[in-house]
Amino acid sequence: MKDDLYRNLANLDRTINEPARLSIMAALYDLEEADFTFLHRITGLTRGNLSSHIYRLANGGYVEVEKKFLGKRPVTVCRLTPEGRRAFERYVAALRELVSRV
Amino acid sequence: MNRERINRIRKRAVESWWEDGIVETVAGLGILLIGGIGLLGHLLEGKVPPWTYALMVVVIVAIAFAVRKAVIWAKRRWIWPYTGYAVVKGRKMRGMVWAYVSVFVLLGGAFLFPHYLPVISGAIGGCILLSIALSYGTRRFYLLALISVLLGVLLQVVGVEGERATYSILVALGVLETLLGTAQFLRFRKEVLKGEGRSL
Repeated sequence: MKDDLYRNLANLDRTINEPARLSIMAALYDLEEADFTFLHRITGLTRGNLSSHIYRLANGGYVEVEKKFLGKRPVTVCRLTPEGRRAFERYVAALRELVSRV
Repeated sequence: MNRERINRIRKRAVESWWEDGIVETVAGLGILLIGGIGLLGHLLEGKVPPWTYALMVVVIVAIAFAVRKAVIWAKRRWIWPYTGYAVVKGRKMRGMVWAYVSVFVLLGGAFLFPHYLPVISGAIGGCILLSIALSYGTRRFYLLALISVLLGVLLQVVGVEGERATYSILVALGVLETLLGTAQFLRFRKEVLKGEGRSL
């Protein structure tokens, strides 16, 4: 039983298991998409930090990044991929189970 | 990071959709138009050709569908350049869809329970507004829910009956929602332009 617990802990998704990246995933989960300014405001991360963590999430296939125009204004938009959404749900479920067993 | 913080960020992301007052203003205008058209149809009963009523239903459906488009247009123009751009998932907009569905149920129910309609209309309106308040944490909707119920009771006591009471409640709620939304929009714009926008 304890072995399972440690195994689950060791198997937590490392791409998500970092406070900044988890904040970004949590913010994007209920949104269709959001731009850098919004994510900067809602997560409280610095722009440099935000940029590097989004890059990491995008490399993991969890976040899609797209440059587009809102009217005449260029924006960099982020959204969770279906894989990212599933990974976030798995992570939260695993976290919930771990907490309930401690 | 604990679960409370995850939930707080998710809640804030969804609340951001409501915090500028635009959704209320546009939805309020939509409800006001629907109520106004209904009231007009009721007052003109028998004086206009039957196809006019079919046209009214088409207009009401068009208004319901145009609300989200209008919200996005207004946010793009006045809010997103300052706060950043975010669109809440359709799943989270169920409250608004249910609100409009219930408005249609109300209009249908007008023919079934004409005597108690003012109280029923007010109570249904109150339930819809309360569900929005509870789902999204927007305190302004608690006030609107209370007003809806009180308005229903008041109209019942005064003796306004049938569809007229229902449409009057819709018009009153539409006006109040638009005013509250506009006040919130102006306050939010002032805060944001001063750089005092809320963050976690």
